[in-house]
Amino acid sequence: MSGPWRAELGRVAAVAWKDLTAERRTRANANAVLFFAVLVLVLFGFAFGPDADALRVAAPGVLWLTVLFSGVLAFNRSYQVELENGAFDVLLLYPGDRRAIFLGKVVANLVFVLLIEALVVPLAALLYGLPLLAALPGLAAVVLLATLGLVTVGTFYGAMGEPRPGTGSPAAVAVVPHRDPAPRGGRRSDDRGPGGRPHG
Amino acid sequence: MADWSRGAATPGRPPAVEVEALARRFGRRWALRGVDLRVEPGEAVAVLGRNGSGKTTLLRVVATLLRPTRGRVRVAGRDVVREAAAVRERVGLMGHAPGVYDDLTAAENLRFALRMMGRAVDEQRIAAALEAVGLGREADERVRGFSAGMRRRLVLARLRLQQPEILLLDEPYASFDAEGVELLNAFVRETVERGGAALVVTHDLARGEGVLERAFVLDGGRIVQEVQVTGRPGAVREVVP
Repeated sequence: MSGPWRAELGRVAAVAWKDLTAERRTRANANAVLFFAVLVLVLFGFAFGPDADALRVAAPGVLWLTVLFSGVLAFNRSYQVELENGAFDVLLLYPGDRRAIFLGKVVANLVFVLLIEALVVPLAALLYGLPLLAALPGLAAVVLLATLGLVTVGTFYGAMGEPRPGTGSPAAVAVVPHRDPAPRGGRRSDDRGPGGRPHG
Repeated sequence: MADWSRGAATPGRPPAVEVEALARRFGRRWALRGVDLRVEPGEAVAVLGRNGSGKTTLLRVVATLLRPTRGRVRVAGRDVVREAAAVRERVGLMGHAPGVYDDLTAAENLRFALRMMGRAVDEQRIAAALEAVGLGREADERVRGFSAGMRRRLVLARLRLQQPEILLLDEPYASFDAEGVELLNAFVRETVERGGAALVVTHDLARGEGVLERAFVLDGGRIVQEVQVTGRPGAVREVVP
């Protein structure tokens, strides 16, 4: 691998390491996102009532909605930490390609959202009566690909809506659900998954 | 240690910072209205002025963090718009905010900075940089517990590792105690003695006395005064508006 590429990969790894280390220590994002995700799953479960069939049909959509909203919280936070103490200016002034910063954030967000999904998917299977183990190999591939798409687009919009300190990121909240095809694709793929039915 | 061919009078060497007719607008408000200034290699220059006079905007344009609305800015002969990447390799910024990460330790902040600079992580250099700014014992402590002055010292340690050719310092004396001011001034002196340069935005020129050689006074986005400071005891008080 040539020198410049190695240096850029080093920057990608540095940004991802920095974000994940900070998150591991504070769990500021994880606590909020997990609480939110569990709340959404449980509330939708109540909304659909005790009908097991209705729950199974709704499960893929509810799952991706949960992941999507949880992701938006994570994407906002990933830029918010750069605004605390004015770190964003310093980050932008490092030499090298600025795409490394974006890719580093994508990697960190991907790891974070996958960890959230590792907890949320089994919980959804439990609450909505889905046969998780039977569908696991296919579901894992779908989740991985859809999450990669969601995180890439979400991190991009998170940067576009780069907020001022103490504010949210309205661009990510408003645009991701409409623009990001990953959850829609993921949800449709899930329809063939645990307990789902193809849409007419 | 970096050496940028010492001396302001080095033939053929471009100015460290060259600003020509710089104007910058935010919405309908002009923060800068035709600024011209020049900082030669081997010089430390102050920019003074009231709040809102355009000092920080000027520094941010030089640092490539803002684009000029009009005019031209070159750093070590490189245009800040067309050759921004080359400019970023030469400048080191100490901004209003320290730009450090609270949930990393002091040493981890420096490790991260070295990796972002594309340099090898050298633990001995990191330890030496922290020791030099008086943070040797706090190397493995999280920055969240640091005072404002300690955070400033950490930024100084980062700059010591970076060894930039041109220092861009925005209110650098804020939060520093007397020892911190000495450490900062010594670093600025080292930088200019090696042929680098410093552009220092400050309200507190007295703390940079003996290091800062010239001062520009900004008012309403225009330079209204330029004063030689070095060798004129008391001169600093004359120019502070």
